[in-house]
Amino acid sequence: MMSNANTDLSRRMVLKSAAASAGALVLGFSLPGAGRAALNRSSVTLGAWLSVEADGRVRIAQPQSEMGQGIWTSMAQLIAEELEVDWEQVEIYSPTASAAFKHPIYGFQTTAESFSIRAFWEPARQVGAKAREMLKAAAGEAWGADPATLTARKGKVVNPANGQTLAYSELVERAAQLDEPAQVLLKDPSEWRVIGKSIKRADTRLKIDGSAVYGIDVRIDGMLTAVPLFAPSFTGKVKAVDDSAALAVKGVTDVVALDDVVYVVAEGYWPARKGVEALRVDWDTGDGGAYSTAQAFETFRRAVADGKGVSVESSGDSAAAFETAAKTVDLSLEVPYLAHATMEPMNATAHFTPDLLTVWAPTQAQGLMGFVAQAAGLPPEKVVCHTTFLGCGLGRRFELDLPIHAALVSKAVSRPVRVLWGREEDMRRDFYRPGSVARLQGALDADGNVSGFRVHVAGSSILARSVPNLAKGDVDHTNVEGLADGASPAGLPYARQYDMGGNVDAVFSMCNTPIPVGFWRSVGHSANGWMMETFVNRLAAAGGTDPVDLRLRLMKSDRNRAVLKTLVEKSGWGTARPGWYQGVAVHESFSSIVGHVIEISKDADSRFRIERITTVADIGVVVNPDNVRAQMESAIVTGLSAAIFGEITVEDGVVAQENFPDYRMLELAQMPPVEVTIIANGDPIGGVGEAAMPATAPALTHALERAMGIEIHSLPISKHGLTLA
Amino acid sequence: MSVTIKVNGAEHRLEIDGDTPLLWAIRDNLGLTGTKFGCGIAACGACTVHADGEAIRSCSVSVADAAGWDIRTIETLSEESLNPIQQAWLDLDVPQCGYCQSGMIMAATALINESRSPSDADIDEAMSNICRCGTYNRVRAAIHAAVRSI
Repeated sequence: MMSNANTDLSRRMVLKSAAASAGALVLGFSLPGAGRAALNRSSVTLGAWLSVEADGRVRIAQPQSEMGQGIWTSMAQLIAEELEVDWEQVEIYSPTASAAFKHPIYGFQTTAESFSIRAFWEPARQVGAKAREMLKAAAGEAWGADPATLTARKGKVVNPANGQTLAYSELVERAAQLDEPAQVLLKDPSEWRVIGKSIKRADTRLKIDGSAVYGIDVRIDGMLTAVPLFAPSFTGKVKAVDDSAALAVKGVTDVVALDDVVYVVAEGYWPARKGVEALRVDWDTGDGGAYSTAQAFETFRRAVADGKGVSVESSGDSAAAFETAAKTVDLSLEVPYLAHATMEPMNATAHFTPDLLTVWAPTQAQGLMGFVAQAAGLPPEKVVCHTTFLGCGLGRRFELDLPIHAALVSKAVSRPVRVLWGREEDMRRDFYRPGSVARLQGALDADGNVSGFRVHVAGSSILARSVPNLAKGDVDHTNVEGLADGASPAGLPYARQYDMGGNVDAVFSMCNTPIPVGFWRSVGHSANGWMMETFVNRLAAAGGTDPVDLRLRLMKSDRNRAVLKTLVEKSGWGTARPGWYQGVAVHESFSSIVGHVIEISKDADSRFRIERITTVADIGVVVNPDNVRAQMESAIVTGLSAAIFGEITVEDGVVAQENFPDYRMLELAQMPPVEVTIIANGDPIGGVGEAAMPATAPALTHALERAMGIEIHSLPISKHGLTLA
Repeated sequence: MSVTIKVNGAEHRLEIDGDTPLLWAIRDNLGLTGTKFGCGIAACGACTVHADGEAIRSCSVSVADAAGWDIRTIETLSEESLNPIQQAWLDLDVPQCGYCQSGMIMAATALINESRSPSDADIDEAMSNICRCGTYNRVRAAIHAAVRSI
């Protein structure tokens, strides 16, 4: 029943059809054993990663979720570099989820925290290098030559002594008999031909003619479409369902009530949507039936005002420092809840049978599908997961609610089911970037040096909801990352780029509410980058110091200083064109350091225009420069949309926003030119998918504050009477 | 009821309610999934198709109203070779997640068919499609590049 679509899916997701489909697919070889990851926590098995086919193709399984970040291309670059093949020979495909693809750090297959290239940096290159050495050994056997004297290049093994060559395709059968080498040497960076090059994206061709398959595009024989009607509040439950009118809608086949949602199942989206409109459900709205974001923020503010919480950093005597300070800064800042609003609305497709659950999904959490099987009453190993392209992820697609719903509805109707939400459900049933409140205080001595620093953050914990054992002791490191230095009781580190002296106290108050919170591009940094950078600007103003000079003084690392200095030079900091106003911010996250100078202009009505953005990113090692530039622009756009417009509010238990007109996005006409400079000095490799986000909002508010002569203490900007032209 | 629509040069008689948005007829009835669903209220442009050569948002047009129009979707743009917009998109690696790009390409193609040398202001006005990935600057550059290539 499913084989058709399944075959179709994998066929269409293959990058290039074989250059030469010479004969039948004879045997390829896959690397059997475990390339021992240089990343220490656990070893990774890489056997399913690569096959060199007898027809000349090199098939690379790319298990990380492609959600726009370019991982299809950059991951394959690592393997192709070491394998010494022509890029044209390479086919990339999205493999069925497997334990073989578990993430070296997380221990299960997932794409999160800008941690694909960083984690697979060694293991992926090892895959390519081991295959290369096996092919050289096979050629050595064939020629009676010492493999160490042979070279590999462009899909061939060459014997420099006599000019003999054998193509990889001719060596496959022999190589497949060999044992995997225990130790292989990786190429010296000076010999890289693929890494560091702006190789064209492997998925572009599929994305310009409509052939790329996203989750919403999965079509399985016999498949039905299910559209939800949710309880009005997050804590709501189904009490009673009157489905008579819904079932009377032409094309509607079933109505399936789950705990807090009722699905109308039909032959296609539109009849299901009409069924939802005809559905009558009696809800118990639960504890959170009257809850609001106003209440949540009251709770956060009270926690900060009370000053009580868990200490997450403490050194010296901050009380004494504040008592003896020449000047102090006391700043309270607030950030709103944010929705992900990925362009592809939430969906998942599942086929439940008593023996096996099959899932097709745009997911960031393939390795967690065992929980989906369990939710549907199957053992965790009885699940197969096919990953489609993701119409953006932003962290939302790490959650399992969609695959679980699809599995349960499929089970109920005994048919393959595609669950598909409208934009309204997507926006109202999200796991939101947590809103939070922070009070930041600084003490300056008579010379203007920072003599004391206090920060108190209050907000909801993502980990307490999703992975409670990582939020031990009521500390979630994501709530304080970027603001404080230390490690949570669960052992997860957090860091601040600034040395705030020897008298520091940082406190966190975990205030969990009925509003579900989740991972959102750059997670805690998305809020804390803005808070820290805004605070440093206030400190500079209080001390009469230039904001750039103060940052250079406080930064712990020369890497961060180099980013800021390069930014000053590239942007012409301090020499803005007449009528333009500059703002600056730098933030370190995901082992990368990214700074922006944002320049704006204003008109007489306080409408502003973003004129230009200069970005400098130190990412340690660059795999694909053009893709890095794209990712910088990408996080900037997400960051600008959030900073200017982004706010989710809950009133009487219900999310007030429901679609793009009331949860706005930056548009093309509002997008300024962005000039990106990449620093890659061979330092530890950093992530690129999220790192440009945190500095975006503070650079913009800095420019606006200077232009308008105001202080901005909460986001989004649009609620301060400031309008983007 | 039955409605006949002309999509990519072929007429299709569909047993379908006339109020069904054209988008869902294209996606669910015809199986042409290159045209995307983004908002359902014509706010994002992911569902953009051509109707008699003009870019329209197919989520907000009923299939009954579309009867008699010459509808073209992303799948028909490159039957023989890539059109100049697609080629420029490929050359500049415009897409990231790619989900909005069918709509972007349909809107851009309609724009350059109408105006052979659109100004930045023309582009600003015609390209109101939403992209969460931030491909806007490359979209603009690719439209200019496509125009130069014609």
